[in-house]
Amino acid sequence: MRFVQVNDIASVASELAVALRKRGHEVDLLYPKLYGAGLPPLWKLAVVPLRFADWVRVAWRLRTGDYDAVHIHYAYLGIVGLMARVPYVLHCHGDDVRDVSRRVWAPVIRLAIKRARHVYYSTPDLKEPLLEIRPDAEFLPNPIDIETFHPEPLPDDATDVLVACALAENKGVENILAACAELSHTSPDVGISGFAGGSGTAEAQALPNVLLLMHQPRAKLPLLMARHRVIIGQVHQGAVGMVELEALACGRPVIAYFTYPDAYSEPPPFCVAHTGPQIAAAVTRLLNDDVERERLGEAGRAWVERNHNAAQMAERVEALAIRFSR
Amino acid sequence: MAEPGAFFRERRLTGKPPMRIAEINDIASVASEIGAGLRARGHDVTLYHPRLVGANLHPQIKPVTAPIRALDWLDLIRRIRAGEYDLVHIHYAYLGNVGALGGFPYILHCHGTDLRGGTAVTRPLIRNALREARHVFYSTPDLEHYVSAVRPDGEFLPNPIDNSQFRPITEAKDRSSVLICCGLTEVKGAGRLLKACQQLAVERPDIRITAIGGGQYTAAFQALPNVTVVAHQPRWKLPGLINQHGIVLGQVRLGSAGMAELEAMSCARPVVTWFNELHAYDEPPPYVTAVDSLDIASAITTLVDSAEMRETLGAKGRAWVEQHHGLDKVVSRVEEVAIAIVEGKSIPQAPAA
Repeated sequence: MRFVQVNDIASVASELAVALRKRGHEVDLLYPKLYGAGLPPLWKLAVVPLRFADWVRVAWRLRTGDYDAVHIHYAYLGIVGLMARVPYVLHCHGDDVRDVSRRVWAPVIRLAIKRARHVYYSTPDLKEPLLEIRPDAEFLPNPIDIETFHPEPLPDDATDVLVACALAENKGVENILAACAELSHTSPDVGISGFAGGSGTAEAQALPNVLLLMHQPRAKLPLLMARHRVIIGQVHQGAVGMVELEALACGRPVIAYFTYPDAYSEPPPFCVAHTGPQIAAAVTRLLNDDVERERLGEAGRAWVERNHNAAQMAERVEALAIRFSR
Repeated sequence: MAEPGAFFRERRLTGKPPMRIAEINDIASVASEIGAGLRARGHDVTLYHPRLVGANLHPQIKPVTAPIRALDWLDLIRRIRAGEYDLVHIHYAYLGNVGALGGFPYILHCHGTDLRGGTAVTRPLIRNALREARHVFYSTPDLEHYVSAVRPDGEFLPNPIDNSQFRPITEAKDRSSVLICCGLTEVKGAGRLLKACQQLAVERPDIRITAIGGGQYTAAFQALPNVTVVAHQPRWKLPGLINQHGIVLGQVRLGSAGMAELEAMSCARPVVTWFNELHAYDEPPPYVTAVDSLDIASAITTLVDSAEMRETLGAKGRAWVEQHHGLDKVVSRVEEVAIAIVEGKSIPQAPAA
């Protein structure tokens, strides 16, 4: 079949593309030009003409590409499916549908969701806002490339902790940095790595126990994770993204705030923590307990293999496409 | 501005120690280190940070910022006059014109690119700043020939290293990873460092390398599987970062090392760099000298494989820095020169570096 994936949010589209290609399909990946993506919501209106011109380009590609299945990521971008007048699957990822009624693009988002042939959502916290618009929306766990993200032995000079999520408010940076600050007093020898770039960057840089890395190319993430004993993920939404799942696939224990255990047939083996003191306590406990770290790492890897394997997700996407093509 | 030397004369009369000194422009933290050392000796030191508008622009484009800079210089002159300083210590050659325009006695301290990177526009300014200075220091030996053409009495003043801040916390023998301490820029030889890292990625993928992002080669280093690029670090975090590594790799293009390489040695780390100014010191520094990518990769491999060599070279390096770049020794010389200028005496003979 000829698939097209539009917009590579959190590498989900590219992971699905790789997995679909492995199943023998032809897959194109289209990248819309996200002019002004870093602007505040109202300012984004100023770049509408530029974006509209690009949507016309993408819609034209969808219209003329002779695709059997069009898979669009990020809710408002469903507009290119509408413009192209082709049936499309819409894949929602998070901020695109959270608090949808407060968004400038709310009417467009609702229309794109309603008109989609099918709607996927990638984290379980999106179920509630989406079901009001599309009761048939389906949870498609993010596809993890378990061959690329695989366990490696811990090197002798491993660092203790990696904060794998962005240092941003919507990841719970306040709580994460509170934990780092507490650890700088209680366990000053514990080294913590994080990524510069989010709103908490300056505060993180001011902590003596945090080493900020520049944004890393995705290809380097498996090795980077392998060089850390414990991973801290997001602690705000109660749901996790790709990076926390990839860390589990690398066989590392992951501290995160996860409140949707019922979304799976078996709950994920995260080390659940929310507040700064809870996160700091979890870090200390895991660093002091080699056996528990290993147990959680192995359990996490096995769980991702069963619940987020990219090959299985591609199979589901393929099955849907076949059903719609009949 | 008060009559030059007024405070010092008062100091002599009353038996109190302070001179009032303005340190201008904190290049590579040299001004703040010297300022701290002078304060420790009882002097009253103020550090001024000129607004370096357009500092990152291409040298040929920078002149367009001249009007803004001129306004800043005038403001600086006003503040220095109001400060009633006995002496002004100005860092970076062309900024010496602040002293020349202000008509106050100043020591000019040259640091590198200020002389090496002179353009048709800045060279006359630099010559004027050098000529008008009461004394001229330069911080790396390779600058001698730039300075001596205008000021034969220019003096090599080794950069001051605070060895209490930059000290070994961990032992080099216990760590085998590598830190690239210099900027990832052409002038530091980042192209050669990149080739060495590429070679190591193939031959010794087990060797982990950390680089500090920011220069034009950042993306190329970021693409290497064996290199982790960290964000620009505040100065107070550098000792900790150095101590996380067993080997430090410095600049390999100019043949002269800067603060970063010296601070790494002060942390008792073996430093691989290209140093080609052996005459500058009475005892050559114990750098591991390497200039091309093959040499660099070979030196790194040798050091990674020998914990004993890392320990020995690290200890030698720290001792050498203490002897030749000790903060106290450098501050003593600045103080000695400052006193001579303020008292109107000739500058005492420079001690051997």
